[in-house]
Amino acid sequence: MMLFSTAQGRTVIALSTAERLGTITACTIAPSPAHISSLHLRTRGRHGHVMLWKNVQSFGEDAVTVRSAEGLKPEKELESAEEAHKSHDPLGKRVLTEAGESMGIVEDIDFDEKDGSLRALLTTEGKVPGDRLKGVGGYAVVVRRPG
Amino acid sequence: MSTYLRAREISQEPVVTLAGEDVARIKDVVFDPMRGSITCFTLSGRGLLAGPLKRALLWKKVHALGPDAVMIRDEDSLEEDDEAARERIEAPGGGSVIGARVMTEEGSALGTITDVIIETSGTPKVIGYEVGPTARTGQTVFLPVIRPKSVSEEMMVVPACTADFTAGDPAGLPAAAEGLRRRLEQEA
Repeated sequence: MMLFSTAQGRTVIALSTAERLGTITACTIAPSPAHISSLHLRTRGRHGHVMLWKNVQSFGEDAVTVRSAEGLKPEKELESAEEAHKSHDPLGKRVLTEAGESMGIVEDIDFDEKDGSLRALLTTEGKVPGDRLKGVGGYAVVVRRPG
Repeated sequence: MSTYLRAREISQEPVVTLAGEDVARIKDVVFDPMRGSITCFTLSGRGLLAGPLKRALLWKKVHALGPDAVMIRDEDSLEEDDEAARERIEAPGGGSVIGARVMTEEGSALGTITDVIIETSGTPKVIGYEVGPTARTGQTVFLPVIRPKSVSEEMMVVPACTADFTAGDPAGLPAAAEGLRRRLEQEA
């Protein structure tokens, strides 16, 4: 179990050049199967950058390693339809069931640091298992109804 | 989960895709007052598109009607061609019964419709109306309406015995409707 809040601020390092690329600020998630699709980083430059999860080599206790800086993309170059776009960041977003009922606001996410799979969304109204995720958009995180 | 929604609560609800994007806002609930079935929703835009949208959302394209949002599969569910929706909107009394007077066949006024109560368990259905106070009753009541005799924008004519089956809140409507149904069957 790993909470995204504990991963925020962690340094991301490129193994090929031993460079610090930046620190984790946010992430995006995607359904089927529910997983973290990208990490958003604060880099030295003025703009944020994005690293797709598939480039992550290891999610270590002190740093997250990626093979190289090649996968790093400026946030502003992403189209809103892309999985890594900021609109797919679940934190602070309302949760709606597919039946149109509100289930609180996402406060944190519980994920598996080995493969990036989403275990649960922690909301102001409780825990929603990750496998219920249907979609994340600019307005809401949509989940299947319990039971 | 609340099983009863008011049409007034539904208007202003966001229309949200299963991918989590809000694409419009509900303006009005359009329904068939004779059958109680919802036919479509008229929409207004959001943000930059604010103002009436020339699109409607047909009931068959709705994934779910909830207390906090109307869910659709994706943006394609919104009707591009407004014609189909417009025909339905212009059906007698469609969507505009708020403000209409409820009158019994015998000519007593039961009040003015102030809201429409929709039951959402199963296929959403109009199960009754919130009726504002008349000089005679002095209070707001909920009237089950199973088979109105006729409907116009101005008036809804209901069987005389409807007045005997009022409820104090929306949750009392199913029991009231059941009582009314039995009475209507006896009288038939």
